[in-house]
Amino acid sequence: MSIGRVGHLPSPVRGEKTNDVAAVVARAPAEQVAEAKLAQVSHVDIDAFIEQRSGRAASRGLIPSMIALLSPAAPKPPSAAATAMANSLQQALGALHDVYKDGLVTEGEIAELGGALSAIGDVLALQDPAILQMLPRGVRERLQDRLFEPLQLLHDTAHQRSQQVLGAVTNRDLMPLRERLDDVKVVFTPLDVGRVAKSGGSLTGAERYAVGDYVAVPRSSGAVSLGVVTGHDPDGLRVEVLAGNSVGMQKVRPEDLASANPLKIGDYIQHGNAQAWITGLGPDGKLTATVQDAKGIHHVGGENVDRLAAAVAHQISDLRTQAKAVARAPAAPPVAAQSLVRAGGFENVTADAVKGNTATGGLFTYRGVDYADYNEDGAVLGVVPKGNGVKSETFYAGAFDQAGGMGHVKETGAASRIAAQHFAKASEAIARGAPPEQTLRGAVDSAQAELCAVNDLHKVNMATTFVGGVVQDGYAHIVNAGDAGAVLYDKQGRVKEQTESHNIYDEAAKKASPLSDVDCMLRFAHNISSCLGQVDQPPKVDAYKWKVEPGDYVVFFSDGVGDLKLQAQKNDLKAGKSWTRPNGDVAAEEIGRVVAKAGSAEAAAQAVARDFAGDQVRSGEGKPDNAAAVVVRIAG
Amino acid sequence: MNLEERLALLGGLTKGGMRDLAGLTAADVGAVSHFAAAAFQSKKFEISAKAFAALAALEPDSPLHLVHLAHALAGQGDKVGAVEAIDRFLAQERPGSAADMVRALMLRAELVAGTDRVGAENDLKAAHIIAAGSPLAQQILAGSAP
Repeated sequence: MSIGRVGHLPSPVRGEKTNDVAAVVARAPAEQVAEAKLAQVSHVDIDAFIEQRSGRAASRGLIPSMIALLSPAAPKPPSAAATAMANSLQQALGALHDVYKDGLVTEGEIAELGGALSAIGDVLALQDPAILQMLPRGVRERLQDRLFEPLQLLHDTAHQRSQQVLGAVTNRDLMPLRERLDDVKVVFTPLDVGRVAKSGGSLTGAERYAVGDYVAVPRSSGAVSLGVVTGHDPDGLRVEVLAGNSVGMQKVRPEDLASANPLKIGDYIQHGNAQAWITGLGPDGKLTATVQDAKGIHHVGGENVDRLAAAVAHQISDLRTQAKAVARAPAAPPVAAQSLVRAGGFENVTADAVKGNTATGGLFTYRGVDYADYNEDGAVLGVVPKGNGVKSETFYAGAFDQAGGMGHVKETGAASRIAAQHFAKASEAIARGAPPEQTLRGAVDSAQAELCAVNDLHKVNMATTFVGGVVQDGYAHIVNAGDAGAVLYDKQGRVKEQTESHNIYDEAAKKASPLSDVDCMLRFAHNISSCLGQVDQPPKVDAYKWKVEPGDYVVFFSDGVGDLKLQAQKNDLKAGKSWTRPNGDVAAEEIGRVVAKAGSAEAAAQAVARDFAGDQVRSGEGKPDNAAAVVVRIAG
Repeated sequence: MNLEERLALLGGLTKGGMRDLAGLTAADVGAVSHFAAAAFQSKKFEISAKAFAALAALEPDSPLHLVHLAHALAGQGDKVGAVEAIDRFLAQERPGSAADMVRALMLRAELVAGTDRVGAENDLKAAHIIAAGSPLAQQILAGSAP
């Protein structure tokens, strides 16, 4: 029943009431009676609701899902495979206990350990005789013999060790900015000159800085201080600096950033036969560096760093000149078929690239920031060249996001891998003449079937989203099931088209006017309303056909990218400020700016999924998640 | 055992690994669930809550255990615990049908109405929006279905 139909009987969401209950009851099936009664209960009339509930409390029995538990199947012993798995886990758990007994709990596993200890504690509660003695003997024996003792040992040992580590971590994280700046610990990353050249950016651009980076900050007094980046604004970097004995927030304009930072603190540069590390800020307010060359190791600063920056800038300029010359070269080279299915736990270190004559593509997927130590997102990028029965060069790309909170098997990202493989196969068929929409919908169906079969075999509940498309003959044909997304941008990075997210908040937001009417639904922004893997709820699939033009970008991404403004909207709502546009639309616009600025599809995929996503999570505006972005740039 | 292996094992324990560790079959878990529901029916809410909490840890991909846990905690008088369990349920990516979500939101509204009226209003408002696409959910909201 659509919201439009409910609206015929004035909707309680809009605060109207009806007196037409009798008329409705007279003609009606149960659902219309329910509608009428629903309309009579004002959504803000809590007192009436409570009265209604308490009036029925005494007669309120078990809810239907609990009633269903009262008719269980007869217990039976585990299969040989299950016993083998249990034995293997017993050994692993024993090894884990030995590790913690020796005190080797690291800070990196504290969060995971905390979650596990809490769940272990809940299971150990089954030792209560009032529960245990009431269970069938076989079940009781399996719990007692195989579960309680190893879990109790692990629980007790690990709990003690983790408390010690937590104490140390808490003390460290409270360390004020002053100590951080007194004890500078720079993390060095290689400066990719080729990427800077391709991207059209500069050595001194703000886009090179991530939250947490050190930066030289010009002060109004004329001095230069060391600061820490806390975020980006359209007109500059936000930084924290020490101002006397307190911490000050400052904005650094692009020209000031460039003058004080000819290179970035943390750059590692290979130039000719020399290597250089940009280490920090000297007392003269100029950057310092450590250089290793044929003559040995030198600590330099001031003009020497400026000269190094000029040399690197010259190198970038040369690369750009060469690139222009290549771009003017006649005759397209032959295109090799490529099919990249990056799934099953795969993580990019640098972006993948695919090149064709009609488009180029880039792909980047990884675990994300502050989320997990594995990647369950999958991504696909491929090209089928013209010829050998293929009428037109066909690009294909997609993103597949396994729902982290639902079931798993041993293979990381198995569900998204299944979806990715079916999509890639369908895309190859489309390149060879199969009808695009029908074939892509078929890929969703076949992935759904395989995933449900795997779930049934392993008695789990894995789920994944599916967004993918092919670009062929001037059109992008796309299907979407879930809350991953695809957006078509023009060459300036402006949104032309985008898929609709199958997500409870986004669906409500689409129908709401004003948007603040559905602020109460923002907490459901992670609840997907369509996905693959649920046998009783086949996925809802939307299909799109977008005209693409030279210079356009088609970008596919998981919700680890699409939700990069979600936390910002939630934070504002908590502070009493409702947004007028959903966070997904705001994120799509910012992603477009990042894509257009990156300069190539390959650079764009990495800039979106790694740099922009990481920045947003670290600054608290985005939600931690795995991230995947695939960019197809139409040639011309 | 290196850090990555430890993290994988710890993560696995919270994703159904404990069920596999004991070699528990679906029927075994069903037996525990039957006990938990029967205890609830006999108004032994504390015992029922312990059992449903264990089930939620053994089968984290069956979110309804959290709803049942919430009902048991509510029966025990632990409103805070019940609301936490409902919030964990609603935080799942696929918590369940519209009917399940509406039931959970109505219970939450009932539990928080005394201390957080705005929260209760938002719960009911959300329940109405979610129920819009489901006749059963609307009946539940109107009180004509359990």
